[in-house]
Amino acid sequence: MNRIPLAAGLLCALGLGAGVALANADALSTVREKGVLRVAVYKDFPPYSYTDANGRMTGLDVEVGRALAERMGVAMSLEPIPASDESMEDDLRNAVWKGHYMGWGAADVMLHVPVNADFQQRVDKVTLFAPYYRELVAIAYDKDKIPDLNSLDVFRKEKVGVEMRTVADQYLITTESGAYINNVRHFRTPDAACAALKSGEVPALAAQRGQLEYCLGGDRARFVVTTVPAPNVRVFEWNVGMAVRASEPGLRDALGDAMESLRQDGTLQKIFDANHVSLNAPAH
Amino acid sequence: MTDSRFLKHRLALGVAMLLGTAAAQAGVTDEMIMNADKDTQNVLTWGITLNGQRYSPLKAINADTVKDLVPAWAFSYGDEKQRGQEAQPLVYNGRMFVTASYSRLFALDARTGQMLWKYEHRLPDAILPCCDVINRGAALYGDLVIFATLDAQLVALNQETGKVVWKQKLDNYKDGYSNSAAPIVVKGLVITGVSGGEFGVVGRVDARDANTGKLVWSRPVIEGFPGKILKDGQLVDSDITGGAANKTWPGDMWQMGGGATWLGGLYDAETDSILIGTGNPAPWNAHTRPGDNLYTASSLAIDPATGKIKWHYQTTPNDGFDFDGVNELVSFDLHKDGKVIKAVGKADRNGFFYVLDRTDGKLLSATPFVTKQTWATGVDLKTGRPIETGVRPGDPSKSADGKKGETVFSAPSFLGGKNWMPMAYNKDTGLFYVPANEWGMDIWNEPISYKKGAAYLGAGFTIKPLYEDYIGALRAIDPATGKIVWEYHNPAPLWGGVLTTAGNLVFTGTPEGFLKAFDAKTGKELWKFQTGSGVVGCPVTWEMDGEQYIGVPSGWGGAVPLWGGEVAKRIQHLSQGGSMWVFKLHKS
Amino acid sequence: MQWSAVALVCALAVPAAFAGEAVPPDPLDSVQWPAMVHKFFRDQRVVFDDAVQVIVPPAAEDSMNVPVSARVHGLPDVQEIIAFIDFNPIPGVLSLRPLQALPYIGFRVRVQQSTPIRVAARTADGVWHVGGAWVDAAGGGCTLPSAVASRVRDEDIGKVAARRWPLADGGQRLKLRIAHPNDTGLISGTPAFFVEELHVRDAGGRELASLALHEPIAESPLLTLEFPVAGALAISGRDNSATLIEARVE
Repeated sequence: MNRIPLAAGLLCALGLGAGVALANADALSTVREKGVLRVAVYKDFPPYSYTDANGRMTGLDVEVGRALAERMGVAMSLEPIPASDESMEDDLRNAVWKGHYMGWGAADVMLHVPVNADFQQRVDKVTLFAPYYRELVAIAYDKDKIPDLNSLDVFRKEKVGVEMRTVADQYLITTESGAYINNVRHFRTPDAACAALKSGEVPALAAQRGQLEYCLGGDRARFVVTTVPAPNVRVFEWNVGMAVRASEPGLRDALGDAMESLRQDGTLQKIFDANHVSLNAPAH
Repeated sequence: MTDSRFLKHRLALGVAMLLGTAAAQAGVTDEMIMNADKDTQNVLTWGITLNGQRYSPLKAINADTVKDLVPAWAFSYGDEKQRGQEAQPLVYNGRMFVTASYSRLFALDARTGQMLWKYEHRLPDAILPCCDVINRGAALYGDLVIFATLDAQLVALNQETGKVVWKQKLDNYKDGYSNSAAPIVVKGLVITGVSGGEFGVVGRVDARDANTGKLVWSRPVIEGFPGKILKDGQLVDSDITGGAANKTWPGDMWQMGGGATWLGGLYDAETDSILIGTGNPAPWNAHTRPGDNLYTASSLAIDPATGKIKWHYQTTPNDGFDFDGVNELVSFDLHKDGKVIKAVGKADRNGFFYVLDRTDGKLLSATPFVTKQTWATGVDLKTGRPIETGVRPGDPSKSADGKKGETVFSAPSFLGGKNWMPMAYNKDTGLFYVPANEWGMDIWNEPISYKKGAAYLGAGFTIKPLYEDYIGALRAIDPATGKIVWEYHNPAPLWGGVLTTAGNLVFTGTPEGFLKAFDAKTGKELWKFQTGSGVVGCPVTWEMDGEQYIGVPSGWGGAVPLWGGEVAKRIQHLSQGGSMWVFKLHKS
Repeated sequence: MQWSAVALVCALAVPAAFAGEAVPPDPLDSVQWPAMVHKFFRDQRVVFDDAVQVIVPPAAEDSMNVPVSARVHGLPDVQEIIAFIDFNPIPGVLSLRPLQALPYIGFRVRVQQSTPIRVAARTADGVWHVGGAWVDAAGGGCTLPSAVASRVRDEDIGKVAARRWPLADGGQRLKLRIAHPNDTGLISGTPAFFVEELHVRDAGGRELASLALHEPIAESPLLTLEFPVAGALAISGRDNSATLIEARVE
């Protein structure tokens, strides 16, 4: 008859104990103690992190997160986050250092974060580190319709698809005083843009190279993937790494070591290969 | 003898019960909503009256007696959900209906503040409301109370039980749609707009059958989209907004054009028009969409029967400042040169107070209601277009080479000369009471910026107060001349609605926690009460058991605390809350 | 000590009117029984009756998902079947009107602590026949959040998976699961959000059974009903936020 109150008492004691431990310990100790690394990735972001047909989160970043956790000897718990409408600063606040006011976020680490010294200065609540690859904006085009893409001026005549509100969109609608704007076709999702390229609705598509590679898969006979033929455009390439709270150097070092070990033993390469994405080494 | 008396008694009871049932079934009618200006017992609609004047003929509480105003009751919304409380309460039949943060709705006993029921809407984790988790209020119709939720649903509940009677999806929250505005009911139709971030949301006005929630017509506000209308039980395309696509937009930019109608609308019975403002165009960078970008940042008059746009007036063509034009369009009779003109007043985000002819949308006057406007020197009364200075934010794509762009100072800031908080018009004084804010912004192109893990051409900005001693300014404006008759300065930005009464009073709240009353003619502060948290809601007044009551929600939040910069320093000490305060005159 | 405190609270919660209600002694010996009588039966006639057979596991493996089935044997003309749980913060579980259905119900339920689970059948003469059984359970089934991994995706809410099985005597059994978080509202910050109404009709639109469901029903509730005749079925219903539920079981 006394069992129930006793059990409740036990729960309270455990709860209290955990609270005390959290207050004193750094994030790395907590991760090790609980045996769980909470990894934030973007929702709906193929091929990096997205929901498969069975409703499970999958993709390159999900596999990188799982491999990192394994290397640290803990399990991964995914925290899929929606991307902010405004900027990445919001995502880092929600996913890493504060959490969102709807109650989600504040994971141990966020993946797919650009690592850049200028950007680091603007986001001082987090540490950006351990770039695992270099992403760039590229153009995939149909060889039968566009013989050679040596200049963007092709798009004075030909249509080009973009995912709306991406850097490719921004650049193509504004550069050359808007000379291409009437030929830029906007799509709401990368999947819709990919379908338009494959169906011939647009002869070219500008997006992140990883997205284009994922879109085309093995279908490279008709399509060429090339860098954007525009000189001195710095925003078209960036290193992709991860972020932890700035106050957690221990966790940063452990994750950095784990990433280095994934690179050295070829695990990282295998993950990229399995997702049909080129692993370009980050630039320094 | 005894028997017949007993019978009579029973009979009387029966009749009373029958009448009671009939009244309960009728509930709030179109006629009652249309005549809300004469109904001092109830507060039946957003705007207090459908024309949005926020004026009450009650005057027991007046400039002389307001000093005796004391709390009658207060009610705490509870939970940890203490964020911005921007609602305007409704009062009907002794019950108060007030919405609260996180899409909650409370039914309270208007006499005692005792909770009758509450409805907490289940919100999906993935919603990303742009500007806090606020809600601005509900609509009443029949025995229903109807409100919109952050996940873009419209929910109708039974006034007595709080049970959900119907629910309709306004749009998909996963595509960035949301809703926080109060719906209005016009001739049996619930009228709503849509809210949403920059992400491909297209502004729209929808009309639904208030009894069932079924769509009757829908009007996209961006040129090129066809409307929809119910014909023989089927939703079919109606006319194309603006006649055709690409008249004022390049390429396919109109398809993601923005123009969110996030503040909802009002209604003018004399011209039988829904009057509604539209948001800024998307994307934010004006250089990507040369042209006027109709009908963004505009005022629209819409036929409630068909959803056709009768007239439009654009306040900020090709907006590049985030001066969205959603502000409320308040119908009033303008007395000028011995004539009475059917006019409508609007205090726009861009800092101009516009007076339009509400029969055709023609501009009558446009005068500044803030002290600084860097973007335009005035408005050309012949063409109706702003006289721009050319001071505009730069084109972020110019920073594709990784260099920071030059900094431009622009006023008002993107939070506007006036934001969402509704003004009031007092027909006795002939003055509008406008809650304005004095701030500008530095804006520049970032050398490097990121969004969803990828490079992005972004702009940086910081909001700056224009003055050391105040940001908020409650201004009394004469619509005939545009002159500011009096003003009250407030240290923190004003973010709450205004109420004015025949008692020569103007009520509004402050983020510092006060509900304040001012002399409507002189602006003299007559009374204030500290509610414990910032007041950013809308005050209302009604009469019950022969006494006049004033009610206002309290709870600091909204968009202001979400932005940093120098403004943050002036508001960081303000504490959150979530309660409903009601006042009446102290009787000694 | 703790138990007597509970009993005191409950005793206080029952108004004075309760004194006049006829309360048969409880074979399950639960201190909550008088409060249950007051809440569900008031001055109606109540008898404990072995004809109402309630099957529960002796110990709940998962207190958020306890399988319960109840069958009424040999009572004529059952008008209504209700289920309730003495020690749950919200005791009422469901009410079935077996219009053209057999007097049988299977469901899964959340249990806050060890408690009797009761099912009562009302016959046409207005008498409630009560059966029940104790279930042993760890604490918190109603007030702890469900495991994150099992959460229902928003786009799936209200979707029905259902199947019909023939019964030996020509009738059929219907098993259905409704994807729904079925939140009780007892967890801070999570509003009550649960399936509250279901109707089963035959192919001709005739209503066969109607169910009112309450907060304690388990996440993505699994329900079993039995009917005396075979044939396609249509399911309709809604949750407390008016999300409509529609399905056909061919």
